[in-house]
Amino acid sequence: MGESRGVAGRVVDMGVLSYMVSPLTLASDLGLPISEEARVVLPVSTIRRGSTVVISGRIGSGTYSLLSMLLVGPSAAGLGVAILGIPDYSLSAARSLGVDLSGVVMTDPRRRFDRSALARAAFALTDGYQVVVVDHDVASVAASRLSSRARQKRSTLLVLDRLPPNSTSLPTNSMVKADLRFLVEGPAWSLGGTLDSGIISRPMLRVITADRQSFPVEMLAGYAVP
Amino acid sequence: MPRVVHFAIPNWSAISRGWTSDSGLEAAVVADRKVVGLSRSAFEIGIRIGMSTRSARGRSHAIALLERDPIQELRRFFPVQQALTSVSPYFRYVSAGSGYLHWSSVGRYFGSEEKLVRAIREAITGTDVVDGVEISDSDVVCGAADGYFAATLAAGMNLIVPPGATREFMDAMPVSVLGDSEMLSLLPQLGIKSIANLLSMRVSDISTRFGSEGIALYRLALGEEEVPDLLQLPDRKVSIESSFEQPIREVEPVVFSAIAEIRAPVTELLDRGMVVTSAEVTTITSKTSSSRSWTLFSGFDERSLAERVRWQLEGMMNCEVEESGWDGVVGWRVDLIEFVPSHGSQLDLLGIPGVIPEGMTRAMARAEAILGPESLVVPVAVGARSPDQTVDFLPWQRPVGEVSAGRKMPARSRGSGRRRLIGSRKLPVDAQDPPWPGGIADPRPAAVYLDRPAVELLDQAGSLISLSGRGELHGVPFQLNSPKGSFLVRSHLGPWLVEQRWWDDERSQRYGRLLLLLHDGSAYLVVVNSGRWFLEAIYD
Repeated sequence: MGESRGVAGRVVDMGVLSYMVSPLTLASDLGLPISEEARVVLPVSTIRRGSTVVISGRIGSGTYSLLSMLLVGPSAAGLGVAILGIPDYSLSAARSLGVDLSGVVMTDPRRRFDRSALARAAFALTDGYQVVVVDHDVASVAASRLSSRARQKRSTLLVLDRLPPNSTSLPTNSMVKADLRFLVEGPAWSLGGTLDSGIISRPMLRVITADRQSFPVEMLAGYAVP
Repeated sequence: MPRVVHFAIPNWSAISRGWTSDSGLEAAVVADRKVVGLSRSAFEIGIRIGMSTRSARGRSHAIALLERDPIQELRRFFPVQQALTSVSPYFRYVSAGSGYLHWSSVGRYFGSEEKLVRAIREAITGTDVVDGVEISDSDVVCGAADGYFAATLAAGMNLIVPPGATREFMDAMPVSVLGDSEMLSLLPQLGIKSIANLLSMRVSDISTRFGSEGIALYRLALGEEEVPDLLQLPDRKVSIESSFEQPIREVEPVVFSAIAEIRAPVTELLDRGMVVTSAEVTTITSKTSSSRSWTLFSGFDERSLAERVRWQLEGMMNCEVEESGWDGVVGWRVDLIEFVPSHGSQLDLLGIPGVIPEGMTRAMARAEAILGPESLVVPVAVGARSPDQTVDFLPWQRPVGEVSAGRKMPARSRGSGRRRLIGSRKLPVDAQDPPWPGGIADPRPAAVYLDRPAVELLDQAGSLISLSGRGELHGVPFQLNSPKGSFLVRSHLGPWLVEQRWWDDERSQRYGRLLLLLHDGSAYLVVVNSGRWFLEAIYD
């Protein structure tokens, strides 16, 4: 009798033990680390890991600056960032905005790659990299498959949708179904100052944000660049 | 020091593309912003191998610059390797277009080095590379000396250095033959022009002034740091092989499975303190088999060995497709034949950070299998004036020390890369960011165009604006015509003249830079070189 209670007791102990060692997911693990600067732009407090985020805007409007702001937090937290098929994105500028390059890998900007090959490579990289950045043309090759793969692997997909500098229309029917969408409208740069202290400046980025549920929200990023 | 006979086809990048001497094509093959191959017409207008792409463009605006295709170069090197088996089965191949042989392995048969060199030249000459394009005798350089590095230099001059005379031969060489680092461009200005000058310095002085890079170059000049000196054979032969029941037509799955199978023995050797520097790769197709020896002085890991399997298979596939059709691979074998002691890798203070986690490595290997070899790079911040040069890109599986691996110098000799990397691929650590005189101040332009598309900067009358030799702008910028559209200019700053390496005819550059503010509020950086305007960057 005593022995059977002992067995029962051990079963209970095992139950308690299994509860104690069961996988625990902290709230911070569910979201992508966001830097203080980027947090000002976001209407939500975090970007959920595995989501698809589209950054749209005309060339020169600040899309790359916003991308760099979004990469500051993940790169500082030691997460892997893979950038595919965006040869003109300057990592030197990204680094000056605070992106830690030690966890960044990218496709060789001196070479040109086929879009579908880049999409398949992005598919493979979601397996090991927590943030994968691709151009909209690449993402649209296999948009829904790429998004669902990223969601499954909890890798955040950042899609850059850059329009020609003199484009007057805004992206409407994107192939990529975004969980979160940013539209960047940077105000004009101004020239001035000296060669040493900076000769060009822009007060802040203007970013319109929309997710699947909410109406577009306009935020002014209180972030001089820089 | 062993006698080494080295051969190379310096212009292999161009020859493997089938560029003939009478085609009139003005073109060059480039890699890492340097010319690595060129056509006859490009040669005639003064373009040379090793020249920067910018200097090449300076010689001719019309020149076509084509990106290197390493896979195609390796495929088309296969017939050359086949031809050389008639000379000796003991050739070691370092890369496509070059290889070497230890004189001791064939000395008794050939009797003299002159005969061997002649046999090598005869074997290579006349090899059909592609569509009837054959290698001519003048395409091949071949030479012999004591030690690998001296042999590569002797080959470049088509010279057989008599045994024992290698020291004098090396002493007369300029220091630039040791590589193309910043330190080497500085030495001539300090009066150290030849290797004899360098070796006359005290080691302690070199160490104090130039650190580990100086010591590595000093040892290379001495001939110490070249072919692995201590061969240490394990107690049993290490062979890895795999065979397939059905022929596999695609090369990628074979290479991918090879990585997994080679990993265990290579890791085991590393645990025993050894690293593989030479391996014999045998690839078997449904029709034939091929065996080649490959050498990597910095040491092979599973990925670089599997890459050799790929190179060989690509070559065989190319030949068989042309001859009788490709049926597929039925097996491969890798025999590890030379080993050196591993110097291990230095982990960060807390161990883990800096080492790429296994999951990332696997993901990158898969992505690279899709995109091609050396398609993924890791960025390293470096100092420079031009925004397109402030980040250097290293293939993710190459040692950190090989920032600009040149043809002249074995990778092993470059800095401390080997010691830091073998066994655990380690991400480069960004250099400190010292101020760079003449560089672009923050904020930096976020979109930088490496290919620098041509633009037109016009004044209100529609005339092209020019820059005088003294840096004065002739005309007021009014309109910018670029591939992205035409824009009106609201205001501008500059120009700033940039003059780099004025002491070096080959690499000197002089151009002007202008910052334009356009009417839509965006800001563009443009440069003017020899009267032509190029888009350098956009603030974004």
